Amino acid sequence: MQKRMSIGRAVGFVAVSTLMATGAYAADKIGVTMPNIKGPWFTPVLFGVTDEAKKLNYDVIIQDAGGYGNVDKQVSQLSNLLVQRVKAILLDPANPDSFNGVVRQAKSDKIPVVGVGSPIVASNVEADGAASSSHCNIGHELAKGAKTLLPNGGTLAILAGPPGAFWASDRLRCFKEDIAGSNIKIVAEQTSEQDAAVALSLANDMLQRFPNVDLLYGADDTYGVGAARAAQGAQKCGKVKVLFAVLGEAAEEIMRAGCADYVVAQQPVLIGRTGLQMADKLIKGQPLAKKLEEISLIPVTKANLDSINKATMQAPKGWTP
Amino acid sequence: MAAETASVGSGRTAEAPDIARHVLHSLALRHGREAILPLVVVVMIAVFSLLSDVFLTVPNFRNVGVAAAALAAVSFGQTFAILTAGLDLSIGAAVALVSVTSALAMRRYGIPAGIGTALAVGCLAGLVNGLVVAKLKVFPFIATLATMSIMSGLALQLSAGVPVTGVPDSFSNLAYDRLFGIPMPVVIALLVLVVAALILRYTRVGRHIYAVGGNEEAARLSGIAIDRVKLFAYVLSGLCAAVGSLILTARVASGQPSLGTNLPLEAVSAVVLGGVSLFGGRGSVIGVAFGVLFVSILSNGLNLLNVSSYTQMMVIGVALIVAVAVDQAFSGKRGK
Repeated sequence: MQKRMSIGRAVGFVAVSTLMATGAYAADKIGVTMPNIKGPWFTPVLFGVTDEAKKLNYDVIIQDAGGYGNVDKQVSQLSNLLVQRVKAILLDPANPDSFNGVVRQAKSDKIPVVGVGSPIVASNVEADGAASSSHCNIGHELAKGAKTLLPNGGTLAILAGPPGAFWASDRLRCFKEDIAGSNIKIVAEQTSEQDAAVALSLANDMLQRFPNVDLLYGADDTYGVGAARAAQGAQKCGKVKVLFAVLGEAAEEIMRAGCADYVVAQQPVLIGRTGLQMADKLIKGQPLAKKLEEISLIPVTKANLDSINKATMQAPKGWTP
Repeated sequence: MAAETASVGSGRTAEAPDIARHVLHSLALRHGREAILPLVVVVMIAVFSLLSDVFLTVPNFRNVGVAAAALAAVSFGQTFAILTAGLDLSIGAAVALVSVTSALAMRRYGIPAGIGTALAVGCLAGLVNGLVVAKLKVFPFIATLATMSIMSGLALQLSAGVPVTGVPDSFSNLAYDRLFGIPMPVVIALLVLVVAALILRYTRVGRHIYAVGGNEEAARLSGIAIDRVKLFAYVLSGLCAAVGSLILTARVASGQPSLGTNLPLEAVSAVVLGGVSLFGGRGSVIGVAFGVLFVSILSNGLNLLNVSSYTQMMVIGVALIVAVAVDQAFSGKRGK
């Protein structure tokens, strides 16, 4: 009797193991596609996504297009995710105009597409959901920051972000709308690849051309930290104010060093978590409370740097996708 | 006499295996290079089929085809340049410039104007390359590196650095349409392949392209107009880049000033992997088609296995080194 029970247990163990190995109990898959997966913005977003996915028992397939210029690659990667029969897709499109066809394909395959870090996934096709901060609101907050830093006006040089990136152009458009009519004058504006070394070099050139510039604007912290390091190198920390969006680790360090003055912090970890939660609801056929979850912004200066909750802004130290 | 007969008999018997070995060796030298890649592609398909349960499916192969179509068109064009012992590094920038200009024209004047603009700009880009290489005698690597920079700057200038939107839906839908179940981009790439193969195999200029690449001095002495042949090769390269650009522009439904950044590396890889010698004068577009398949299937398989695009770049780089090393070895054995 005992021998039969032991054999029974062994057979049961082998059966269960085999089923698990064949994927009968495998977690559902969610696809994530981004223009880039590394950097002070994408890393915390992906941390939020993957950490939440673990809690909700999903496997995450992350696709990285390798740069904003590789929009055709990102479109192909989204097509690949559809072939892999993922249950939902989280998408931050390099350029929404390029994704209409492939997002329509996703809809016809009944795979929900959720914007994460972007309020839209395609210019003419509605997202099934989105978790993002409004890029225009970021621009408005940056304008508030500029007016706070330069109450009497002054000159401004702009590191505008990657060429053709709608998030950067939206921020800048709304920023300019708000400073129009004020005493803040733009003396230089340039786009560049989203690369810290390139941003540093660009900011250096701007400081050379306009040694008396009052404020440097960075589209996000890659550009902002580059600008702050340029000011640091020219020993102009505090004399040249630096203003940008996204508070990554490097941004925090440079602010503590006194070389970054105002950061409009997004909450990328929370954006990632919220996006995954929305995808989970859509997979289970549950209604969303709101189709667009707008994640709030937090203005940060050296004064409140230590008191804000950074758990929603930064991935744990050393975490990489 | 018996001994003589025996020794003669022994000599004849010994010759046959030697002849067979010699024939096999010659065949291997002549065709081994071209035969390896199709086998590698088959092995790769088998491996990825085992590692991914969605690889060997019709939807996935359609994806591979669509993703490969632009690379194929561009690679067939690159073949013409490389066959003349040249190189066209400007194809990526040409794709971007054509994308922007055709989108601008399409938005304002309609699809036929956009397509016409694309082909004209592609030809012009090729013509400039050809003139710099053939008439100014600038080394192709340098000439096309310089024109790459010019064309990139021009694309960004014309578009003000932002994508050109407003491309008609009927044009961008081409990227998703099918003809008898085959995606339209694949049909277009196949047409380019057929035309390129016909030019190289059955026309005088095709033979002259091989002659110039094989031995330029001998070609000159035999009366071939070298400059004209080179010009033609680069114009064809530009034209094929324009076709590739139209495919990509339809796929991304906009004129993108930074489209095609990775194309030069991928196209050269596909061409060299496909058996076209970097020294010129040898190779076929059919081989290049297999080279394109290799690069595209590799990329698709690695994507399905969730390998990052950075690692994929490294893998393609290594494959290119191996392909060039093999090409060098075969060229050395043939005494070229």
